[in-house]
Amino acid sequence: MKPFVLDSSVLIACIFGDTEENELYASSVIRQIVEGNLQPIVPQHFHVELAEFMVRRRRTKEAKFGAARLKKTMQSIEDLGIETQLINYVFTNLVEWSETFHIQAKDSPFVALAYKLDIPIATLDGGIIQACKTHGISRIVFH
Amino acid sequence: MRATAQKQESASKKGKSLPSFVELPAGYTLIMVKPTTPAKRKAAAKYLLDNMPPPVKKGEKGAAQLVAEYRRS
Repeated sequence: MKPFVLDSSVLIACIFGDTEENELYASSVIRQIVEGNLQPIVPQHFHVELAEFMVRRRRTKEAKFGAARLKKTMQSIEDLGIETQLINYVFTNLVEWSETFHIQAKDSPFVALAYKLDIPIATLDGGIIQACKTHGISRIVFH
Repeated sequence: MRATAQKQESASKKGKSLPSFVELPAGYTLIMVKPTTPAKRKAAAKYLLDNMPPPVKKGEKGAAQLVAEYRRS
């Protein structure tokens, strides 16, 4: 299984909907995980962002994202076997990474993890895509 | 006094057993993964893909754009 960094934007697009192109990308990533071709790795910040979007969506009280759906979605994500790498970082590291890669502090754990492990990243975030191009980090693409 | 001391010792032990990223030497990582099986992975993916909302309409904000805005806020 090829390890890669899974940016939370991919799963959030899958759960909450996105453009046709982005949904195709997100579903391709998930299929590759299931087929055993890709092993997702995330920094701990992934969990903060995913939780943030789930909580926000629940607070809007959308009928399509009720308690049962939330529970089943969380269970499904857990069952994907995502590996969390608890990187040792503090705010000074986040600032340094943001400056180095010209990205936002919230993007930096994903980019730094891919850079540190020298593995590709799956993302739908334009800022991260640009940072990958500039700094020689591969982005998972499908043809 | 003795009970208090025991409580403190217990809390200290508990504290030591907790993974703390700030105590890891720089460059070291702690890896966490919830055990799963191929069957569970397959079922999980099926659920996520079957329940993927229809694509957003032209002009509407997709999730990726909302994530980008959240990160830049």
